[in-house]
Amino acid sequence: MRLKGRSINSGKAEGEAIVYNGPFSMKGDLDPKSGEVSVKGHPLEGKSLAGKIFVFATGRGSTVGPYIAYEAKKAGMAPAAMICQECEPIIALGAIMADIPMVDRLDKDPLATIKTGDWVRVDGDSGIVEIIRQS
Amino acid sequence: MHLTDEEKRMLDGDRGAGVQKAMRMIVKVGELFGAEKTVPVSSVQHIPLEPVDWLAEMVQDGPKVMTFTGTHSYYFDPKSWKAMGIADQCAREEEVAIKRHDELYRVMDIVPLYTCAPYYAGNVPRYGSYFLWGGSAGQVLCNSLLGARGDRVGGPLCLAAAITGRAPYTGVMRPENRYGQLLFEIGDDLKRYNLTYAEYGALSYCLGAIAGTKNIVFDGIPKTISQEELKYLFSPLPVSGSVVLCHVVGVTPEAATLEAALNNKKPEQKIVVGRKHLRQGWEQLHTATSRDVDLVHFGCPHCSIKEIQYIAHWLDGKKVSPNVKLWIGTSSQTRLLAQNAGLADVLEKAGAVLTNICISEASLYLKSWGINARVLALDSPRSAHYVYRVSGGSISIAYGNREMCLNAAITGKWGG
Repeated sequence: MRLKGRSINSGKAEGEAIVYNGPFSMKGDLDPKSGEVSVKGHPLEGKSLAGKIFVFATGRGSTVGPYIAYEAKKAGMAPAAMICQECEPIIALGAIMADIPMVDRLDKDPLATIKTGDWVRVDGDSGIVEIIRQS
Repeated sequence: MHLTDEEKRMLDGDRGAGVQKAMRMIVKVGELFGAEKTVPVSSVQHIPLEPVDWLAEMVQDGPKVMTFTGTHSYYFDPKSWKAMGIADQCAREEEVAIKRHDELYRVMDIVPLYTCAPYYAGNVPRYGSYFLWGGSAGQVLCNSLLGARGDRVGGPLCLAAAITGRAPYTGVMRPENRYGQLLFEIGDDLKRYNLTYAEYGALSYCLGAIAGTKNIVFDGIPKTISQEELKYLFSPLPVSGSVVLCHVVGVTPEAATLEAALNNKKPEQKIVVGRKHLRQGWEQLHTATSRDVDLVHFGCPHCSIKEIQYIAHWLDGKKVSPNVKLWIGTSSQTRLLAQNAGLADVLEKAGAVLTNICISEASLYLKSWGINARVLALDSPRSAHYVYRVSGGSISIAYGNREMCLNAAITGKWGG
């Protein structure tokens, strides 16, 4: 399946999807050293985003978030690409600063279309997302 | 997006790869969030928690900032760590880290203000001018009380604005996006007496969650409200919500009248606010699991000299309990002023420490610094919210008025 959206940051990546049906803050929610979601009681608690295609609703929270995304990227623990329904400035800056391919405003709701474990290809230049294999 | 010739040259790399990266970021964010042009910024507040190798990459061609730029508060203070009781080994590591940043800031002409309230320390954007500040409490105060125009943005865009002198023209920088959307009318049960700082804070903490991203108008706030009280009214709004602009009728510059604040339109929603909102905010903020208080902190956002004066007079001749630490957060400049005014001596004799740390950031490190802190007494919703959450609930909060917090510092007990 092929979806078309808006490019937030360029670059191409593919990998296994991990889906979170809510707003995400790199600051506080993510441990940049391990790439794992570090919040107790979070639906993704203990799960790693490293090398994954991270699909979520939108960004939120502290203006320091982009710095954390950058640290995760330098540690090799950042998501390979990010897809969200509608991005806000903080998460967009995170993608740009850490140079993570990112797409939003897809023609089909990514949270309903993509499932955790699907193999997904993201083209951050054209805004095209392909679901190669469903889990 | 329309770019001037100078901006095009920056984008083409004529002023080096760091400036090119910064300009790319500004253009990209502008395109994503509907800016047809950039505007010149007169004031930047840079968040100093940035990865140092990213900073080095941005300034690889040695550029100085193009507009006045100061640093936001940080979690460590090289001048007060000993008095705070931080273990030597930890302090030395922090000193090395902060020195690396400071050296780069000096090259770039970034002023080491290290405060979240730079309007008390020399960074004051003029009415109608554009600013980009990290730190959401400063964003809402500058927009609302000073009438300067700055959007809610992330840390790296502030540095990009400092390096290029430009910002994308988005959000509340545009006059059409500055009118009130949501009206909070102060109800009769709140009008009868003067609210304390902590009461203003608790009320706003409750209301910020209702407001979300909307611009607020308060009607019915006493016209005698002080600047410090306004700080407590504004600063919780972007914590429980994402508010960046809050008009107060008869007080703030774009709200001479209710009609002016609302652009002669009906608000999207009107809510009469009362004691029940205040109580709800207060109950959410007070999470203390014990009456034994380990640490009392004032200064979120950083204290003005007037606030320090009050605390010093209250403590004059008293002693902080040996089981408790009392930290007062303020800028280095205000600390100097407190020394010149003889207030620092009074505080030191009482056992209080003046420091420029951010308590919310520092709470992450307290344990590793060897500082026992299970219960913090605070009068600020911002720190009460962040410290509790960042610690995963392992640090709980006794939330109350200044006098309640000061009493706890003396007795070691909440309400004792």
